[in-house]
Amino acid sequence: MLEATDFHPGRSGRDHLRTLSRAVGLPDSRVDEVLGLVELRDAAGRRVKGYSLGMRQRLGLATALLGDPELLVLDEPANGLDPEGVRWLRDFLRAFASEGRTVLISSHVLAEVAQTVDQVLIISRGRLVVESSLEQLTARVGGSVRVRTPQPAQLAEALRRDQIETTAGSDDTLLAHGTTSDRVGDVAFDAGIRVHELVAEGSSLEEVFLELTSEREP
Amino acid sequence: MIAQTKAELLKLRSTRTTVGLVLGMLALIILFGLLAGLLTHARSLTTPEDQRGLLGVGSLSGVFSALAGVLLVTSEYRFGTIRPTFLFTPRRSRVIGAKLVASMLAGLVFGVVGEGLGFAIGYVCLRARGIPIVLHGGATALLLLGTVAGVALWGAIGVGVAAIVRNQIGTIVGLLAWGFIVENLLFAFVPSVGRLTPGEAGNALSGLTTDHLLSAAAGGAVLVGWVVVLAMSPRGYERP
Repeated sequence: MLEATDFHPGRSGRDHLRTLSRAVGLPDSRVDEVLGLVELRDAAGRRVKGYSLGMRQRLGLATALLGDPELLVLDEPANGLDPEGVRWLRDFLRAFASEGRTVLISSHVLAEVAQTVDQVLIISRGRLVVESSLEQLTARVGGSVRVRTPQPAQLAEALRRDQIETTAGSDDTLLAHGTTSDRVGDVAFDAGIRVHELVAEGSSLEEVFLELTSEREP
Repeated sequence: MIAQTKAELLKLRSTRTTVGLVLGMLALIILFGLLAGLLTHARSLTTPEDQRGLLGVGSLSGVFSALAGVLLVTSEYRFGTIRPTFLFTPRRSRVIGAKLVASMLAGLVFGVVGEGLGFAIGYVCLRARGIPIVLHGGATALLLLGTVAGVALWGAIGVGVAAIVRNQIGTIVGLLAWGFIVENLLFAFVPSVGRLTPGEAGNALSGLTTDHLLSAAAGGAVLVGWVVVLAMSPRGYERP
């Protein structure tokens, strides 16, 4: 995707796209199509000077979409978008990917990425550190299990015998570290402890990222 | 190449800058045409050369044609649109070539409108003051066609210089200083060199015969030569 700043401020969004589409022989109807895709049709006749940052991002996206690509490469696409715009972008990219096409996003907003992507690549100091699916990645590093039980003290004791560390959460919950929900469930069953809720809590992508990249510190 | 030229023409049409250039051109030609046509002493408007000067006032549109050519390049570098432009058309020679063609087409319009207006003003002034017009048909045709051709070529010179300099202010200031100061000094003090400058070559192309000017054909050839030399500069094709 092109920089969201690469527009002539005095040219309308539609004319910006047309100057590029004509150079590669695309019909003007394609311009209107991509304007519709990024929901910029109403503003297309206005000069880019008056566009918000989010509108410029979408015009940049429209530029990238002109050639009907199989692969989109986006650098910080959510920059400057309001929450509604972020959500729109996420849905748009998911729909694009669900057509069998590929989206590569580079971003520092990991919470946003975690809601959008299937596969994660982490690059630290110019080296590829991780390439895996999001689920595997968050499960594999320092995952913990949250369990709600009317007998937290007994369960903590049972887990400790099994070399699983726990910390007390709020009310009747316990957090078991470095284990899986299967294991905690089995331990509770063997000890005859009732469990009301058992949730595997992968660490957030942000935690994983920090852990993986800090390992590489010299 | 045709597609890219269409794109470049749209770039010219789709900003208000071009409209501003045309309006500025018309205002300046009206001003200079009326000043020269009405205030010049009748005795100084009797020779063919005098009348060429007055009726060719539309050659001023060459300045605006060159500016349009300059902006077609420098605004792309200034606003970063050169990146998508080269992304969509990676062959840079095609982009520069299209800009040269588009600027000459635009320059043709500038020239026809500008010289058409300038000629009309000069003609009406001469007639109104009862000064006999001494330019013959052939000389008049050369004046009109040569001036229009020169104005069109100035558009391409604007593109060529801008592709080398890239900076908008630098290009415009440089071109104006060159056209209005350096060329005149050169022509005044070293006419054998000065007559080879694009401005003086353009004057020759319009049929002016003052002092050491080249013949019209040679003037046209020199002007085209400038366009070719500027367009061939490798700097225009380097990374942005």
